[in-house]
Amino acid sequence: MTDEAISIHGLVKRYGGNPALDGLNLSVPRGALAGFVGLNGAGKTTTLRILLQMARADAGSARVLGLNAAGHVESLDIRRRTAFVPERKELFPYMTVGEVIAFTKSFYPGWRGDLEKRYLKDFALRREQKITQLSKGTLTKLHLLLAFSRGAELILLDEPTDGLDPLGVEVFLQALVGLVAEDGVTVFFSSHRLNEMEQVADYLCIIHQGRALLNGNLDELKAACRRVVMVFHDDSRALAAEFAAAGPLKQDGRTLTVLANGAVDSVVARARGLGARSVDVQPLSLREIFLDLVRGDAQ
Amino acid sequence: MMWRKSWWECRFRVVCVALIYLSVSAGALLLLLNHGASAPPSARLNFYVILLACLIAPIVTVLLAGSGINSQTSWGMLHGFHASMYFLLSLPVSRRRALLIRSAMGGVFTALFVVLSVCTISLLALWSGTRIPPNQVLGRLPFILLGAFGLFGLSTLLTIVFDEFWAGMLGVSIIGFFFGMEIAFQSLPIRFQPAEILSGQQFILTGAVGWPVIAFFFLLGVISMAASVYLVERKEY
Repeated sequence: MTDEAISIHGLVKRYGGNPALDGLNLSVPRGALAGFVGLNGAGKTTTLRILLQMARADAGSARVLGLNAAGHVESLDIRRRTAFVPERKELFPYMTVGEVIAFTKSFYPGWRGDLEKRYLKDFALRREQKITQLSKGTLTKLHLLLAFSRGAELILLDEPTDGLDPLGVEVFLQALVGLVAEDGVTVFFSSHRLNEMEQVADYLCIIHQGRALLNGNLDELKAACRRVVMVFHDDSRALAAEFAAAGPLKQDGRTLTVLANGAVDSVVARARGLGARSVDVQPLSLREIFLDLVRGDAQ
Repeated sequence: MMWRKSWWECRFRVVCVALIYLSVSAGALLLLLNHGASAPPSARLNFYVILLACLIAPIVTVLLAGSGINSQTSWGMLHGFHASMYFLLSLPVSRRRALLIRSAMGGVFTALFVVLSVCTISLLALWSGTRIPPNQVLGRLPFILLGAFGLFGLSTLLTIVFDEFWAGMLGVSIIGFFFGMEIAFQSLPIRFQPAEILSGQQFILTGAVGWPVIAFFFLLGVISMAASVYLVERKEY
């Protein structure tokens, strides 16, 4: 059994000549609660759709739970062992909540009745409610119930907190942590809400323009990424080139700021060697790391 | 549960088709009662048969062919596809199976309405003074069903390639073309006239079997269904 729940190599997908994925490489270890972050149109949804064979890659390969995502028979097995919450959270408009649950349950022998009852209560869903009468947030809650109760080994979530109220978000985050910690489920979820992701994720993939900018353990990533603020005696413009290889740079008068990824000590030593008046090493939030990386890549 | 889902998606269309069938049959019966006496029996029957075939066959097949594996709303037409498709495609069910179950459900009801139409034509014929022997009706029914299968397969294929609205428009247009051919080329032998198999008129009245047309509709149905499965399996969402 492979240690990777998701393994993607050189994935390319074009829509009408425009690249949605441009040689994407990423991996998610089993048992991880992995966040998938990127700007709009970065390729997150396309990636998730390729993993479930809703779309086909033009080049490259994707494996889910050790199985080839492009194989017809293997894809059925992947879907048997995977749960998915799509970006567009619609369900069959002619069913009730109870009917959608019964319909979904029929495909999964390992359906978790205990979790179904728990999330019906926690999300305040009633079986007799018609799908057409559910609000956007309530539809999201029902989607989450359907995903969490499947007894899946891997849960793929595309913007799962979209439309959720704060209480719903809290239930969702607790559920994710519980599924990973207690049941060993792997979760791979895309979201724009980086503060929520930072609360629960232990693994992170940052995608930009169809390529992975970062892919690794979140704590190690945050430990390695530091903002180094250096103040020099004179204008720092001429010194900027000295730090160009360390990471994205920002120069403002005598101040030079570097987002250092993994080479903080050498940046600090170099700054002192160049006679910096002060060197301040600051920790970064996930949001700051993401924005600095994306801006740096764009430049 | 896939069968139940197919029934849920199909049921409102079955009701629509039943209403159309009843209203057309009732209209034909009223015409027969009020204005039928002056026309010769064969002309009256010809009119009713064409009326039923023209109105019911296209609507039945186009409405009941579904929309490929797309989720359908209870009423109205869909542009593009309903976003619940993403949920369906995440389930461990192959697209081929989803399509075949949905088509089988629509096909059963199409067959049911075809049988009802044939029975209605036989009763109207009897009312007009033309008795069609029951064994002749039963013997020719498989050929009429085969004609409906051809149209049903074509309608299924159209709904996979086009939006529901355009598939419906095209389906009705193609069937209208078949009937137009019959009017334009009346000198053609019956066995080469596609509309004959749709109405079953000549089969019932004369027992004639148009093998070329039967072969055409059989092939149309088989090729259309095979193409539908192929396209659905390759389609990207």
